[in-house]
Amino acid sequence: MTNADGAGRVEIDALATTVPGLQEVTGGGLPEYSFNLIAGAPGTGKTTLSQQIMFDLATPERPALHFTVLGEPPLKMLRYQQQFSFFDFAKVEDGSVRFHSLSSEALRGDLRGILDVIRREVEAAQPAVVVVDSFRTLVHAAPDDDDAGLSLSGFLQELAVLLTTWQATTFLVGEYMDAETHDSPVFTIADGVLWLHQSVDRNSVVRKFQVLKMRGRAPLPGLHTMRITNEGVQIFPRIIRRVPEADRTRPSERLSLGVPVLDEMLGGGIPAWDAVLVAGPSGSGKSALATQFIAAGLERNEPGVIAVFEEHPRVYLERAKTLGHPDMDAMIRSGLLQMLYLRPLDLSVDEALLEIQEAVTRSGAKRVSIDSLSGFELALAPTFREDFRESLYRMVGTLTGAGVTVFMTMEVPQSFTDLEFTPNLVSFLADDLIVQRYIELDGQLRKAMMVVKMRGSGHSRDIRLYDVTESGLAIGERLTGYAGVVTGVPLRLNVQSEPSP
Amino acid sequence: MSQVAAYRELGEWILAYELALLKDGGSPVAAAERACQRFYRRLSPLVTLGGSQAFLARSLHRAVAEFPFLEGVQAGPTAEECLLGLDPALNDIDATATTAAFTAVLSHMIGLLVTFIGHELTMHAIREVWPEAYTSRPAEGGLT
Repeated sequence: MTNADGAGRVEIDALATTVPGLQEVTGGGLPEYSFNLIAGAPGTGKTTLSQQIMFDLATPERPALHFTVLGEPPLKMLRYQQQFSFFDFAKVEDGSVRFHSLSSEALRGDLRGILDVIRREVEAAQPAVVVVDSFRTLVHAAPDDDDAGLSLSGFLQELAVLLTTWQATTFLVGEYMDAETHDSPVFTIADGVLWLHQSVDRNSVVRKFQVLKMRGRAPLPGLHTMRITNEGVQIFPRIIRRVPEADRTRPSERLSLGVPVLDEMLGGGIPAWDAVLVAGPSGSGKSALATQFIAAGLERNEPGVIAVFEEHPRVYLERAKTLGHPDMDAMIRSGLLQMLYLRPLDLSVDEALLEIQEAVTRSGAKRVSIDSLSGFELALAPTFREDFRESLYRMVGTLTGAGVTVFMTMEVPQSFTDLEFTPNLVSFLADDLIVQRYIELDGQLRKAMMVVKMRGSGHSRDIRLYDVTESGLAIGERLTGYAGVVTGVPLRLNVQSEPSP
Repeated sequence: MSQVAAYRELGEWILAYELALLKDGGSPVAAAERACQRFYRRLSPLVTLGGSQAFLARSLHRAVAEFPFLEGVQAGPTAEECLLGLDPALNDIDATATTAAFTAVLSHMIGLLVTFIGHELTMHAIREVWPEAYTSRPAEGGLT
């Protein structure tokens, strides 16, 4: 009898695969003894994923059986799959992973014969994992009604019962197109359906992973970015688990930016766990400020992470030296500072977030600088740029939700006639907004800075001139005696005021 | 030792092993048939019977360049009938030449397997059939 608290319910163990991200997207891992379909168009990584799982789970006592039907024979599979680092020769040698070809039976369209071979091998090996690849070719090879009267539905039903009874977790691998989910009985019979996509947008190709169905689990919805490297498949979960708001006790601490006057303008520094956005035109000193924010933490022995999307880290560190921070190299070597250089042109926000999160976890960082959002957007595959705002919102929420204070920079084109703070409405995701801009003043191009917004706390309304000097940002007095400073072309009022520095 | 020499030595070992199992009245041809049958049985789950036949046919084709009298020998469709046309082709060939020819055939089979799946997995497959088979790793060098 099952109690109200759930005691007595069967516990479904999760398979301990090491496929990065699979645990999260399946809602806790693939259920043991489940009957799954790995589907997708050709070249999406189905075979690689199935083999990665197989090598992970196979042991001499509970081996993995890999049946190939038509298409890629085991010999070719062995040839290509051994290129991946997960391919463990020892597991092939000790019989933990075994390959069988069912192509003779498949060519005859003999579903009963195929089932008999699988039954014989399963009974002999008592495997933990069974893979049938490609199951789709089996469907094509099978006649509508074979000699033994075994229909495809009947075959699937018998196969599922057989393999579940022998406590094997099964993966049918098949080439399916999106529109086919309604027509094939395999989608009904399968406990889990993992769908692999490959989308083309202009010259960019992006792999995505979707858990279409997972009985007994609450998988993460949506399309998750997937990458295939020499290590195999890696999945980047679209939604990272966040610390529930109710469980968070936000500290009252404020973080120094390393520029005392700016700290003062911010009412004592940046509130911990805030997301700060500094927007300004090219060369206005955004990166300098980001460097100072991280350096201020390092000076207090607080670990930090800098994610750069434009300059090479070497250039970034060289510039840091000119701003009075000569020791950042040493900080990187000591592990106090993590510097991430993220600029492939087919990046996804989730990949970037994972890298940043891992760096935060490694170093215990409480300060993260993302320099810049403009470069970040440029590094994304075109298809991800469409969701940039939404993805960024999730990313910032995830980081601040984990107790990290995030400092972002963004380049904005400066108009000398309009007051435009930030483009693309990204400022909504920042708690605090600092704007830098050029102004024409007394025949000189000068830089002015203002704190435009601080969510939930007071801040200075001053507009101040500043310069980027050898010791970082030097902020002057409030700019008075002018009107229209925010337009970039202020007019001198009758009241005299000498700007400084 | 070069790869070619190493696989030739392994082929020699396999043939000698099978010949020893035949005891009285065993011939190099009978030993070669047994060896090929075992290869077929081991390879079929990996490449099907048709694939095994293709492997042997290619190996015979390669060996013909060195041993022209193998010209009439063909790869059969099943393990039981893996070598066809032996009688007319080898009627006048002495045991030493026959042994050398099938050593070449077997070494080409091994070499082809290595080309596809590498030394590690090939040796594993061979040791599954002949557990005591020669196991030293050949030196670097391309198969021709």
